[in-house]
Amino acid sequence: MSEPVLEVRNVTKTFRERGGKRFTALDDVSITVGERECVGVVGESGCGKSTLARIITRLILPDSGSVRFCGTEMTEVRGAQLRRAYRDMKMIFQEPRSSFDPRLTIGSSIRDALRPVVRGKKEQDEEIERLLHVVGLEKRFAEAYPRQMSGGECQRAAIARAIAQRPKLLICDEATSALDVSVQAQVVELLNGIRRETGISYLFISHDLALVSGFCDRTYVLCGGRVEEQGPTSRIIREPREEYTKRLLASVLTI
Amino acid sequence: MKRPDRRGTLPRRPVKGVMRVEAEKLLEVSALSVRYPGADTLTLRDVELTLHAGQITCVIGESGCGKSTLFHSILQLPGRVEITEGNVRFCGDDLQTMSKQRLRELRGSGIGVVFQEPGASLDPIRMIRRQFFEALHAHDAAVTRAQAEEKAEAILKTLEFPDPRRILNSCPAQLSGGMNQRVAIALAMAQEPDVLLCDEPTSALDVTVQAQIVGELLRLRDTFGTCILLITHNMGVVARMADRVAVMYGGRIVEYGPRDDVLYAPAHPYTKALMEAIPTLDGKPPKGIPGKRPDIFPEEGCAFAPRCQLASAACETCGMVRRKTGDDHWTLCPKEVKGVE
Repeated sequence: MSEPVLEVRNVTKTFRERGGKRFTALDDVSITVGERECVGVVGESGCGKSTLARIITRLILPDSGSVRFCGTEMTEVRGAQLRRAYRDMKMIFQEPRSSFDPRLTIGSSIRDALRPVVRGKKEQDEEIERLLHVVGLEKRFAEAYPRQMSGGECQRAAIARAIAQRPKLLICDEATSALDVSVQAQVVELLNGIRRETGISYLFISHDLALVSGFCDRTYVLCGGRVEEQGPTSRIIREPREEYTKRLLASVLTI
Repeated sequence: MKRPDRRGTLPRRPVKGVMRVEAEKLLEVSALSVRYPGADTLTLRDVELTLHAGQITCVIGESGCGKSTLFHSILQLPGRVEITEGNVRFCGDDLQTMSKQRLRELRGSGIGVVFQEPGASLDPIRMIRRQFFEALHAHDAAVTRAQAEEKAEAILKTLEFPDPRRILNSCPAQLSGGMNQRVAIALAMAQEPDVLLCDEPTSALDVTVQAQIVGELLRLRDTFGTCILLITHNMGVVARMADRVAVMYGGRIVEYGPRDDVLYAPAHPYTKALMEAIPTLDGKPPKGIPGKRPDIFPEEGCAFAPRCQLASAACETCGMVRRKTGDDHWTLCPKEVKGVE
């Protein structure tokens, strides 16, 4: 088996609260994401999902543990090497509008992402058009500003920008949670299509177990900063082993 | 052993000054058309909805379909919406012709409200005990602090709060979002409303807390016989709670009926597509509805036609008349939806 795209090993992170108390956000967490794999991380607010995403993307450093991404130790790299690693790892956030510069058109935002990989304005223009087409947006959106777009359209544009550099890993932190159900389903369809075509790996962070069940190959259930349970998504849904997973499953309001 | 009379803790009383003409129909929305002040187009068109005592009615729809406008029209919040046609009646009285004074009395004691953001309706730095007193005192100047507290404690107990005393002596800022939402529900219920309006009460909360709130609202209905109007986009909540379901799209109620009929044998293409877009635990990926929602709701014809698989040219001029498809179940779509794949 080839080396996994992402390997998080024994990561621990604590934050200092007011009054000097320490709050453990992540406690000895290990996860792997293989090539072409879609991995879900599920948990409720405060379980450490977002801290995990921020450590993987090296927005913050863990207290201990390692994050290996395509052979790079993320906790140690900096400068040019880090920028190189960032080309292969992209993230999509919950609030699509706030991840775009409000003063730039969608086209210019995507162009910024394209610059290191595509040279020449004409080539960039063509690539922008192609990317917008991939995510199901019309050409005219290249001239649009984020505020002129709906949440769903904006999230599509964020996906277009994220895949512009053909990354190996896409981290989605509650990427569909702010969207309406029908739009959410559209975005999930889009992510699935991109996965089939490009073989990109996903780390799909969500609070919605039902959504993860239809999208991810393997799932980690996170609770209070610890991995409570992990395994193939279908197994976790059908035969949960841990009490917490059972409780989480029971509270999903099925239709 | 005699069963404790839970109703006894909070005696129901007739609404002040209103003879109950028909105990059954509490709130009636008929042929309601509404627009925002200054807007050219209507936001709600021909909305028809009746709420019966002891029943939970859910209005489902996605953002921008007019759910919240309906909410504002029922509350008659000044300056928010302009009713161009139709009316909203509470126990037979038209809310539009009611005096401001009477309307103020009605809000809270006749019609209670729970909003989406649990923190937003509570003062974050005032003890919950005081907020209960203020709410009750505003409607009845004779209420003393001790009485208000007693009542607050009783209702928190009914709602099975772990430690009512502690909650009453806390400020909302010290409590979690889920706990605050439960307090907001308790606060609304302390005024013994006949109708409880909830606008997305669970959307801002975690799934486990969501399930808890759903349980709480159901218990309220069973204990006090409160009539609940729940506005939500969460089909799971609807499936768990609703007696009647109204589906909204493009400013109209496109389908209305008993829960099981609407959810599991939908008679409108939008309801059907919406059901398929919902992620389920069986591992099937959700199916998106192509296209996007209309920004302006068309005056005539079906607003869903551009996204509908069954649509034909006739849909653009369709009369939008209610077609009965079953007992108390109607749809605006003239086409047969059942059985179509």
